[in-house]
Amino acid sequence: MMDHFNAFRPKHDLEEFSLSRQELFDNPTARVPICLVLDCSGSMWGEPISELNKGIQLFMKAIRQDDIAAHSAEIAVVSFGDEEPKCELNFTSIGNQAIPFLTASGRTPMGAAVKMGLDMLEKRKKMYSTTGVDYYQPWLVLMTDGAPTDDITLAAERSSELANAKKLTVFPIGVGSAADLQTLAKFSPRRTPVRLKGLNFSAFFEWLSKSVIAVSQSTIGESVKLPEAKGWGEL
Amino acid sequence: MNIQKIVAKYKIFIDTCTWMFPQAVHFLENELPRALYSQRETVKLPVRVIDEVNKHLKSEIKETRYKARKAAEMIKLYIRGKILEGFGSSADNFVDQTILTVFTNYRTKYHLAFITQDRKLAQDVDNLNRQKSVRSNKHILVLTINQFGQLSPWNFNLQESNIQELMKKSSHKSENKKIPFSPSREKMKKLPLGKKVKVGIDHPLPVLEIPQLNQLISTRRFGPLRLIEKVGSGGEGDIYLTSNGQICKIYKKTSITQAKLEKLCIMLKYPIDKSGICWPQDLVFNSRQQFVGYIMPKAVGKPLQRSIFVKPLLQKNFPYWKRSHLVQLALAILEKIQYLHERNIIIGDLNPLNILIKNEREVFLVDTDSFQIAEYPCPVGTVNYTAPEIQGKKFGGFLRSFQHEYFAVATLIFMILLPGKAPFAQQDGGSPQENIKNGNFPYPLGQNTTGKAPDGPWRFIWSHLPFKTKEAFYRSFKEQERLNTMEWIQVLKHYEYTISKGYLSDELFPQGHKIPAEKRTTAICQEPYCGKEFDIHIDRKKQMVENGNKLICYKCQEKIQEEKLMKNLYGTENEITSKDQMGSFRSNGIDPHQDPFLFDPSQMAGNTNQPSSFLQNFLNRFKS
Ligand SMILES: Nc1ncnc2c1ncn2[C@@H]1O[C@H](COP(=O)(O)OP(=O)(O)O)[C@@H](O)[C@H]1O
Repeated sequence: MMDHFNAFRPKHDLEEFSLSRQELFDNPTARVPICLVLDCSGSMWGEPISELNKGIQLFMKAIRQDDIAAHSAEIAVVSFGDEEPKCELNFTSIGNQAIPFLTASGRTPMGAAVKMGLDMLEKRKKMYSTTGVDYYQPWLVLMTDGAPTDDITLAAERSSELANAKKLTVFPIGVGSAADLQTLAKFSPRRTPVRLKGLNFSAFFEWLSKSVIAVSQSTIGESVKLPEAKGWGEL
Repeated sequence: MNIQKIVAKYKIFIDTCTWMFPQAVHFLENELPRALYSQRETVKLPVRVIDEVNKHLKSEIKETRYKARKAAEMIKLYIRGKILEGFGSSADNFVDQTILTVFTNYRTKYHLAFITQDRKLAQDVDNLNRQKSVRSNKHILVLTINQFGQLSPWNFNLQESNIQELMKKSSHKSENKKIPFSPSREKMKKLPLGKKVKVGIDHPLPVLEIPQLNQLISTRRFGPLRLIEKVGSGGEGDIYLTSNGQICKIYKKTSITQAKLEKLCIMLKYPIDKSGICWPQDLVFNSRQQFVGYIMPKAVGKPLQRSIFVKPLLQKNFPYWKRSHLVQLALAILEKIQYLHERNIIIGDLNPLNILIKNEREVFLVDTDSFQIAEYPCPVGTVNYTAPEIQGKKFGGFLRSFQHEYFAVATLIFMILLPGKAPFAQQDGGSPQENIKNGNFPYPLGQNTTGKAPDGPWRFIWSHLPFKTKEAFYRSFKEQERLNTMEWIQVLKHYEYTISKGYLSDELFPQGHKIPAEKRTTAICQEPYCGKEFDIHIDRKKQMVENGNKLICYKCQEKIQEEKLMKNLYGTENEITSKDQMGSFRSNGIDPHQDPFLFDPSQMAGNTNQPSSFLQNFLNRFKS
């Protein structure tokens, strides 16, 4: 049985895992896991994707600058374009993370991407609970500028179930006029989708960071009034 | 106010109470006579005033006699200096009556000014201005001498009378309350304990403007002040540094309620002058004299949450700290809490954002306006600091008891000694709320253990705590026999003593479990490629050997757990590739019943006779 472990996997992965676990041990702050599931299909090419990258950068910097949020928020990023979703950034402490750089190409496999995001959140929660770290129910930000090219039924059901059970907060965001808000709504029974004003990703991520900071200073289980969503959403 | 202009335009009348008001002496002896002479004017004095002063000269109260003597002396000087004209006669009923009659009769002929300290009379006189039946282009000015000895207009704002009324009421109560004589507490003023929440006072008060940075505010005690720097903000409003170096909280419109005002008025009636407790010093008004906030002393340092409760921040802020500093810090905070408790003040929302730390001996409690005062509840709270029996209840709807408060106190001490770790955070537990409600305190005491204490430094710290301290937590969290603040002070003084004597480790984050010196032995780690010598509890070693188990050092145990967990989370080896492992997570159904962490080394601490089922379980797993 022991030998089995030794052959388990390339060493650096375990080290990375070990580091992330050490950080979980050492930092007693309750965590807010946030998974960004972002459309990086071909239609995002050009200005949209570069604005999105700027927005993410701003988001992560804003959180790092707040003492409490920096030790509480944990961020993962899943992009979907091409045939398969891709994990651009996995959960660990923000201090250890490089800001991802997203590129646009390919199709819109939204169902698979949401599934990946939910799986990652689930695993992270499991990590928290096995190490004895308190956590807030996770957030999932879902952004798209189009309509899915794969079957979303299962993923939408799963995210809706979690949201209805208040075990997940979904923020569905449409980008541009081609974004299919009705499809987005299927993932999010509690918060209605919002269409981003132009390419104002920065305003959205600024708002998101403020919301994260507000939550990180609240207590678990308490319902938090998020800051007013000004400047980024169309009515 | 320019007294010269007033004297030039108005006929001046002064009430008895102003003549006898000590803070008015400067005005009456200097400013007013100067103005009268330069304008060749006189003060009008009802003869009844002289009678009243004469009567007060014979008062039984020494202070009144003294004030009357001063008034008589000044009036004589006015008469001699010919700047006073008497009118009316001793046959008049009351001064009030005389004044009202004179003002009613002459108000159409002259501009009249009346200086009094009596709100009711001032109001009555002022009302003449609004008498519709008489049309007049003359004006009545109603004035008073304020606490700074300055001539100022009466303010008949609704709130103003509200506040005066409140201040009276609460002072009345405090005088009635007889405190039983006890030599050590002779001077202590205890607040009454509320029986139930005062209701129907949640309505907001009218406020036209909320003062902003660089604007002026007014206060009674400190005069006008400027908001010169924003130093914080919270759910209820913003915190500013003012031009006199004190701190001012300006509420948001929605937080300016009758309840808030009433609570603050009581707090002002029971002044607390204790360094480290940022008790309200005065009410704050906007330029329209509407209540908008309060003044308090300045606190220094960073909130507990931002300076102590996260390891890297603790190491950055206090790099030299040891365990004894944490204990000292807890004692410093407890001392403030005890001071409040002795006075029947329940903090309610004890929380690490409202305690500022300068160093381990200088701490500050802020947000005192949220404290529970008499029948005014503390309307907020956080899950971790809330006793199981009141979890989920609406905080504004009931009064907390000392028992509730002691739960919060225990949580606070726990989170200081295990910096930032909530007492109920545990492996495979429910939500914090559920854990607290069920009394699932995960740390072991003697034979008792759940095996669910969180991983990492926490169980080591716990194992190094003195038994008395552990027991105190145990009783508070598990058995609902909560210690009071004084008892906690004793427990921590004992901890301080054991550290100072070298009986217990002074390490901030000890690296391993406590093994008593007489029980310590060494073993060689039997993991392949390790072979290191490590410290082990003698009984544990014996037991491991008896059961035919491998001796494994803590580091290797950790590694084994880690590998197991990783496998559990990310599936079998085939599914993981080195490069994009993060990108290809599969959801391969984790079996929730299969607990990868069934081993809790902390169980070994005192429990050697009966191997626990967890241990058995763990050992079985490794019997290949
Ligand atoms: N007396 C004070 N001196 C210095 N800073 C203060 C003082 N009072 C409050 N603060 C700062 O302002 C923050 C918010 O104050 P608080 O009273 O908690 O506001 P709220 O009740 O609106 O949440 C505090 O965390 C603290 O950092």
